[in-house]
Amino acid sequence: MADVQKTSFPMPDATEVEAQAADWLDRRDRDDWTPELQAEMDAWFAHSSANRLAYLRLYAAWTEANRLAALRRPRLERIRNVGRKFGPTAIKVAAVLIVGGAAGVFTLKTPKAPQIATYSTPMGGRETLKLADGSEIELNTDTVVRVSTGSSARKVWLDRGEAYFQIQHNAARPFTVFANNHRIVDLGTKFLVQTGPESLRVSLVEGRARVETQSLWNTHQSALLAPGDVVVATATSMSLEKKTAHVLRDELSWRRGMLIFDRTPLAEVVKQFNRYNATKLAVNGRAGEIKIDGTFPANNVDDFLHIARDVLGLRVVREGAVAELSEKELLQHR
Amino acid sequence: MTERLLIGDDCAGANRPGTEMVVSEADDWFMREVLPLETTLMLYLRQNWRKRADIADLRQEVYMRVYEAAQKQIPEQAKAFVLMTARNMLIDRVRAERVIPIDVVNDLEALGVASDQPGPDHTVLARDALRRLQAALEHLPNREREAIVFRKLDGLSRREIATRMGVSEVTVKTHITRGMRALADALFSERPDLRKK
Repeated sequence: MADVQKTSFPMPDATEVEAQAADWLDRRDRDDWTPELQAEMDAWFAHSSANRLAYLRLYAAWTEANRLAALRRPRLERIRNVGRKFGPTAIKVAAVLIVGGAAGVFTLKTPKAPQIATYSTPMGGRETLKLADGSEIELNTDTVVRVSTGSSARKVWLDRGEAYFQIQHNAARPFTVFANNHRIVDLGTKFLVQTGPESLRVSLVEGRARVETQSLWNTHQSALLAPGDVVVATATSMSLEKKTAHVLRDELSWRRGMLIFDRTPLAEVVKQFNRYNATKLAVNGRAGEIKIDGTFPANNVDDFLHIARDVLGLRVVREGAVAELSEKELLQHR
Repeated sequence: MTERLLIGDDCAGANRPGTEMVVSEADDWFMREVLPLETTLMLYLRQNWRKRADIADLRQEVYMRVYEAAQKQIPEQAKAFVLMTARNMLIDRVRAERVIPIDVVNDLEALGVASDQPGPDHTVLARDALRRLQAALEHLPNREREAIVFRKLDGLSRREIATRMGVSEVTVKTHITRGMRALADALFSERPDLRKK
């Protein structure tokens, strides 16, 4: 491929350039065009090829739009009335089908007497549990839950890992999640629970829920969560922060089998990958500070390693089930 | 560099004064070969760059790079050239920023770069042009649509449109320029599967 010279920064703002190009095209398209205006436009063109290209783009479309003359009035009226009837609905239906098909979905039979059933996912696995009342629990990688659905109460113990709950609220049969000595009481809600060795993290996506410490010897603490609230609770403390819908959506990307990073240090990226894969990644030294932005299939370590080598320019040393990433030394003798 | 006079086909509105323009070989290549690839290019950029707010600027930069090259020599394979340029640009960017979109090397084969037949994009564009334009027109806000219809279908001047619509000429200008930009997006950028709905 031919060499393409790097264009020097800063680049003109594309939206602004397009607006100016539209102004010029509009003026050019009218009757009162003068040599002075032409000179002015030529100067504008000469200023940056971005200007000329934006103009050419609109010009090509505007010329192409002459085809619209083929429509004339009566047909156009008809177009106007054929509304967007199907648009959004069709998209929703498609979305539902995709969600339904994405992960293995199976239904739990609910016996009359409370009975505890255990469900687990292997590393890299993902399952959706559908309870008879319509509630759903999605288990992320390496997760263990126990579920008890009696006639007066519904209880779930999240013994390990991470799960997303979408609960059909029923005041007569409260739904409680137990994890790390804390209790999450549903008040009609969708929420994510992540357990760690030291702490528990609860993110509320929709509705309301209450998080309570369960411990007998600690002062009783509780927090009422609204959408966007994230509680991090340890054995002795509880902190609450507010996250945007965008951030919460990224955190739930595992439901689609994806990891989403937003200026995430490589050290943290590697940790995330290791949750899902048998091949373990390690990152050495300063390489851990490189920040990454992007979406990636959670279970494709090979692709990630290729990118680490080819794009990030890191040294990748693979031995058995471990791959080490490090920065290339500046002076390397071969 | 050869130059030629480009004249729009003679539908209503096209033969108004001022619609013709002197274009260079590179200009012509850009409009004829590169713009029809815009849907593919946008798909590639969207897949490989998370910040939506950057996409318009990224597209602009790709166009500037390929145009700069075309002024020296017209690339033989437009599609491969445009997408490789996009890829190199993204890699330059992430190196400069040290913030890496890790799927930047999403393979180009998926977009059919390897087989650069002089085909699909052009024919699809030609066949779809009217439908896309129609759909774009339909989605415009009422006033913008009305102004575009007066201009393009009825060939009215700005002053005539202002009188008919009972608004100032400045307002007409705003409607027309917004409409222009929306039509260009509809024609070149929008994915056909989304437009069909």
